[in-house]
Amino acid sequence: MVHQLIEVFLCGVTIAAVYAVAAIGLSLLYGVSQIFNYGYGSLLMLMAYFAWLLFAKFSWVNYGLAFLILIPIAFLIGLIIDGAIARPLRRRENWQITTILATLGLGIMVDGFILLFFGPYGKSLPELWGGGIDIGAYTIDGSRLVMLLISVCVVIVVERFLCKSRYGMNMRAVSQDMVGARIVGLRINRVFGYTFGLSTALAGVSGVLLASVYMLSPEGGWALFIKGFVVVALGGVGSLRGALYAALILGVAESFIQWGIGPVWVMPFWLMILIAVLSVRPRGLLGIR
Amino acid sequence: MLEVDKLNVFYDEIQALKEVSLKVNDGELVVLFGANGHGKSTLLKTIAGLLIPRSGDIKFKGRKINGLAMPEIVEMGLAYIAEERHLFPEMTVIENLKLGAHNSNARKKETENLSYTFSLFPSLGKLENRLASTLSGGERRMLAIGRGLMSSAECLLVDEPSLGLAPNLRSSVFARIGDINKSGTSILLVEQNVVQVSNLADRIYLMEDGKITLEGRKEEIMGSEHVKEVLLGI
Repeated sequence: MVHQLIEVFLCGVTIAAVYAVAAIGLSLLYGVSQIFNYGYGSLLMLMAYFAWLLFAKFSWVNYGLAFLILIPIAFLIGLIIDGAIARPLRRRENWQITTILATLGLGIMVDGFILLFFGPYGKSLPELWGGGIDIGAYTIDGSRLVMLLISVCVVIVVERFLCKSRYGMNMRAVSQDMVGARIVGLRINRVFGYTFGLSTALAGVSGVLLASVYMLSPEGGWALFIKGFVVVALGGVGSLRGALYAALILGVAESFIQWGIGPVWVMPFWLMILIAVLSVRPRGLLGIR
Repeated sequence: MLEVDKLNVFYDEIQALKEVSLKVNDGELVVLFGANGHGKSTLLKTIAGLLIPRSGDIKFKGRKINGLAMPEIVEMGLAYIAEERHLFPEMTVIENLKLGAHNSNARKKETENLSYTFSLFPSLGKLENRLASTLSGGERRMLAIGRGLMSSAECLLVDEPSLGLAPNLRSSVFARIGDINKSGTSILLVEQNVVQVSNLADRIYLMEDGKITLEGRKEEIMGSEHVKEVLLGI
């Protein structure tokens, strides 16, 4: 029994890591540019579909190459969305709301594009890693372990980037005091642009990782968007560490609920957490706002 | 260095600045004083590029800057030190200072500017790795000024640097501003405590109700009856 519980726990941890990557992308964008990207889930799914396309068309592609090709593409897509959609809206009134609506519309459009281009049937990606890996008495599915490792690496890289690099510092400055950022001469639009790019790239990474384990479907992005939303809400907007803790708690809880009660209860669980967070402590565990 | 010509600034339909004209010559320290709410901060914000005037011109080093984006104005060598400071609360003192050196001229001189800033404000040096949100009011004020200095600006717009500071800190801040001016930086200083800064000033302007009502060298201004009335709040 204990053996099983530990395996369920480990399974939860691996999925939590990917949720963390997804949540960080969402949280970062909101923290810096106050844009809540309702199309995030759809973009995540789009990148997963692109990965499927790569694997389907080119036999020489592996996951390493897929990431190498898709991450810059995702970044570019983010830059374009910011430049073409968010930036013009920022010049007008009520841009926080109009941008949400625009990203929502974008998400619906992307779903439609996926349906049109890839068809309605579910797709799957090849395994990240064949077979299991034994750690003592426990066996972890190799794919999930690799998924965990990649996610952890991504989180560490993002954290280092935010702390040490010039661009990371600029992003943090804009998120903490936009007027201060303008006073020191930061080009705010440029910072918004590469934040959107980074956010979409993180969506891409989490999308491809999740797709390696679950099936892809044209509207699958929305469930992931909701989960990302809940992780950000629980962790607190603007807090990377909060997103990590929240992802861990929720990922492990999800794993137990799936195993103990049934998969049908997973989404209701996420939604109940969302309601609880918003009613009891809207700024989340470690949120600043 | 800096020329403001017949500036008119509105907040929606309320006119905050009325035909304001002002000048800062190379190397000067010019003080702008007047009661609260009469437009002094508005003027500085407009020069810095945070607000857009409805009419009038602002020229910096001979070039028109009204309408320019803030990054360009900072690149040209004009830096603004806000009364509200607008520091980055979750970043350390050193990170705040490094961000102050964001513009391309300052970036090349970052190390130089850091030593200069720490020499003027030694206590900031001891607080290098403290988060800005954990600093006291006086320390934050010094950090805001330090961050402005990091920009390698030729002209600084300083808004009420002594607000909320204890008297001994106030004199120290003013002395530092005097030092900065002596090293060649032109300064436009908004300060209610005009008496304390008058010995530093080359010229003084009085602003009342969005208009410049008096200007002149410090001897003329400080001797004027009208100024005495303003200072006494009559």
